[in-house]
Amino acid sequence: MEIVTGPDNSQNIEEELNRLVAEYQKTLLHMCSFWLKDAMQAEDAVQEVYIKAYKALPGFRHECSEKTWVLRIAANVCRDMQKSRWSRFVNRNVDIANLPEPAYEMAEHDDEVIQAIQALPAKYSEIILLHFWQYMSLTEIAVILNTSLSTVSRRLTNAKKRLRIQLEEGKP
Amino acid sequence: MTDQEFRQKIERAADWKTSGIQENPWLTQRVLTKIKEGERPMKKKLAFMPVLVFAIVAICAVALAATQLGLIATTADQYQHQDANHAANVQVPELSIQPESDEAAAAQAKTAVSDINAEVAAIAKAYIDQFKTALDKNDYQDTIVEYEVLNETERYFTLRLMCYTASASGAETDYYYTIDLQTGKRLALADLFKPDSDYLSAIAGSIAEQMKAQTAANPENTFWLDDEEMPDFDLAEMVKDADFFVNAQNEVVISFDEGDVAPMSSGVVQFTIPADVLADIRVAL
Repeated sequence: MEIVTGPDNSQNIEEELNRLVAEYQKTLLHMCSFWLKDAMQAEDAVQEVYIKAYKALPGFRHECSEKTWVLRIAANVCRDMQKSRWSRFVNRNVDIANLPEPAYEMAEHDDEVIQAIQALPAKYSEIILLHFWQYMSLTEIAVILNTSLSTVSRRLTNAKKRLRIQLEEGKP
Repeated sequence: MTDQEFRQKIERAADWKTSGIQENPWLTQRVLTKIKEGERPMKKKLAFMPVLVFAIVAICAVALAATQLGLIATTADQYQHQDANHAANVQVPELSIQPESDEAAAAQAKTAVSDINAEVAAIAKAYIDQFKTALDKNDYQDTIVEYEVLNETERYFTLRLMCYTASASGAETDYYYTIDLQTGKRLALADLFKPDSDYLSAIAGSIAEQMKAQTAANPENTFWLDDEEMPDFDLAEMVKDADFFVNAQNEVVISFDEGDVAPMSSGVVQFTIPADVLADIRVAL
């Protein structure tokens, strides 16, 4: 058995954690809210993401961007939360009812756009949001969702097609 | 609609929908507190391990005198690994019957001991396999499997197996194995109650009361009970699937895994059922 223990750099890691929280908390809360359709659960998820990130920080090799890295952790945390036993009781095909009231008045059609995104299968809506809202490239999305680039590309094409039809013609 | 207009529509709508979500200014502190809370019991447990063996022997000696059946838990196997991205500490326990035990009682306990040993070994193996897979892929993974003896009564011997794994997310699962030192049989929750008694409803009722009291005392203590998103949530059914043990005061303790009755962040959740709630339906010791 090989035991390798890194140097005690917990002070630096805490500073890094602080910076990651300042930089990505909002993004993570937003994406987790869409994944889980519940703001309170999203808060739990984000806390969990940072616990994982803190533990994994010493080994993070910057092979992808930090944003990609934390979003990948978040996608897995949310997936695990959805897989947990209690979620069998929850109807996940619901409106994002448990998000706080928006802070400002919606512009024309905002609500329809949200409903159209929600009406998509989850595998499509997450790619739409990651690409068009979070400005993630297809390669980055493949890392976040732990899938292949070709799958992401195919899903994005299908998702765009379906969403365009809904937005332009109001058809499913 | 151009690609640019398409993106703008999505961006504006998603920004609007999430505009009411507030960031938590204390998140870093909360995360650090959670990490420290998680580390504290581990350190205590590890430090406790050398004396645990003596404690087990002492407790088992008491059990032996009273019941003629003595059980002991020892580490049959272990797996450890540590590097920057991975940490594993798996202690696989094995129960054995003390040679001084009464022959008849020992014969009865043989099946229970062998079943529990097989189950525990299978669980530990699954955690080790999962860890090795993560190691091969170089994915971050933290795995802990530890055990302790909760032999708190003369009547029951309880082994607790604590399993924790963290990859993209962390989850703790506890397993409790109880052997009745009088009968030598593995104890099921139903064995603690008179035949045909509705013990599940009685336990669920007490837990529901405790959940409501905890939420009233602190609204951050939330449970899935009465959650409008879960109309089919059946606490009695959850109790049926949950782990249990009997504490030193002979009270029944129900242990739910993470996420079963409360948010994952609450961890393993346990409820002690007051003796008077179950007094009429418990089997006499």
